[in-house]
Amino acid sequence: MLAAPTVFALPSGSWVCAPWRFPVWQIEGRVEDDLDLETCIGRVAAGDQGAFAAIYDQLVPSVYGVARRVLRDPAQAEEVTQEVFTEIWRQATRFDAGRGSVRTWAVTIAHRRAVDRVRSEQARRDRQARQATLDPPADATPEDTALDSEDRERARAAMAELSAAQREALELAFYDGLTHVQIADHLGIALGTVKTRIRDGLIRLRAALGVSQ
Amino acid sequence: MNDDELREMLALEAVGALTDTERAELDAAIEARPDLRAELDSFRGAAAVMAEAVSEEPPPALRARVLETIAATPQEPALPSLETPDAGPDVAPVVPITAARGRRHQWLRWGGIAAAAAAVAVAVVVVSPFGSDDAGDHLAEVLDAPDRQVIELTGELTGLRLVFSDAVGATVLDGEGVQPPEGDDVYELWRIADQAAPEAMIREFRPEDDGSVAELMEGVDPRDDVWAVTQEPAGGSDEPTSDPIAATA
Repeated sequence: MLAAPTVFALPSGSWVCAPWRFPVWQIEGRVEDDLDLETCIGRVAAGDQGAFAAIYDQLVPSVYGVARRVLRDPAQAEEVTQEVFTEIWRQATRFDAGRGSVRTWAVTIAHRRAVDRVRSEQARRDRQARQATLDPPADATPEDTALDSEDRERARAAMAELSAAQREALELAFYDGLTHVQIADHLGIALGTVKTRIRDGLIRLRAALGVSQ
Repeated sequence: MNDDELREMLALEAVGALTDTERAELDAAIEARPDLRAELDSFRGAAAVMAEAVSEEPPPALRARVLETIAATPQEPALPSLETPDAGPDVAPVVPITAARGRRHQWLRWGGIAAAAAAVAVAVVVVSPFGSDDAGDHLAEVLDAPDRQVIELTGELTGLRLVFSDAVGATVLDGEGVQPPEGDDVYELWRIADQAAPEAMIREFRPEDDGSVAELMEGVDPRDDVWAVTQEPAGGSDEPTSDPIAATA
């Protein structure tokens, strides 16, 4: 008889899309998580709002978190989060698992939209002044929300494997929405160096995570 | 671009560090390269970890709002296995506006057009600038109309504005000193009714050699919508394959 995995704290998502799961999912959390999301997205494509709610619960910390980190403004981050999930709902029929996980898809949309907002905002203001007034990073450790800190810890552990220079370049791009040219300006280094740091940094992140595809 | 340069750009794209123009170039360059596309997807997977590292719970009330919104939102029909030209599933689907070539002086009521992006194919009269006296006259009429109003497009691409006149009932996409697109690429003008609704392609254009643009759009009222210009590969695209390089506020 299989023991239900109740000894583990379930993430906030209701696991409606997996018939059942072994406790082992805690160990291979990412893989299991994404398999479940892929099952869910198939149901969402068929109009299943319950499956959509499960996807929301699983992904909203990453989606909102990245929007908040890029935009800094909670209200705008909420707007982007709402847009992203509406997009996921509308486009679920076109999700292509061959292109990556549901999580990556959602995060890619969220990041793109947040960066677009930051850039159009910046363009609207004074373009020239931007470099000088680059905001200090938002609080890197927002109040711990208890949930899902395991995923977050794993992600942070992966980022800890980066060199300081790689991490800096990746953070300026991903968290601050700067282009490679802006990063080179900001750090006073050659464009080629920025490109190398970002590429090598991503390769190292990928290795740290065992992201194979 | 050689392969090494492309691969560097893939990493930059995965963390959002390319400009819109560079993204468009990259998109075009990897369109027929599944290997590079797969590498981009893989980099995106790695970059997504950076989102997880800053994951955070939103206010709980957001959940109900999102669920309510999607309950009232129709889903896209599944695509046949044809690949979409753009890299991402993050591209909003588009309802192209059918251009009724050769029909002039057709008057479309302004009001009807505002809703067009939502569903319907609308005939927009396409008249090539200076292609006939009529068109030239109308262009000048709009630009000289006493009641003309101007909406600027801003962004990386500068020098474009929409000039329109209620009295003439037409809009001109007017440009001065507009940088031409690279190679055989073209610019396309899109109408976006709102963030959630599809864009509609209104006009494909290239600046003249002197950087001027003069595109007449009869029966088009530009108010209330957002207008955006993207750079697209030669021949144009039915839906935007890159982010806007110029847009109205």
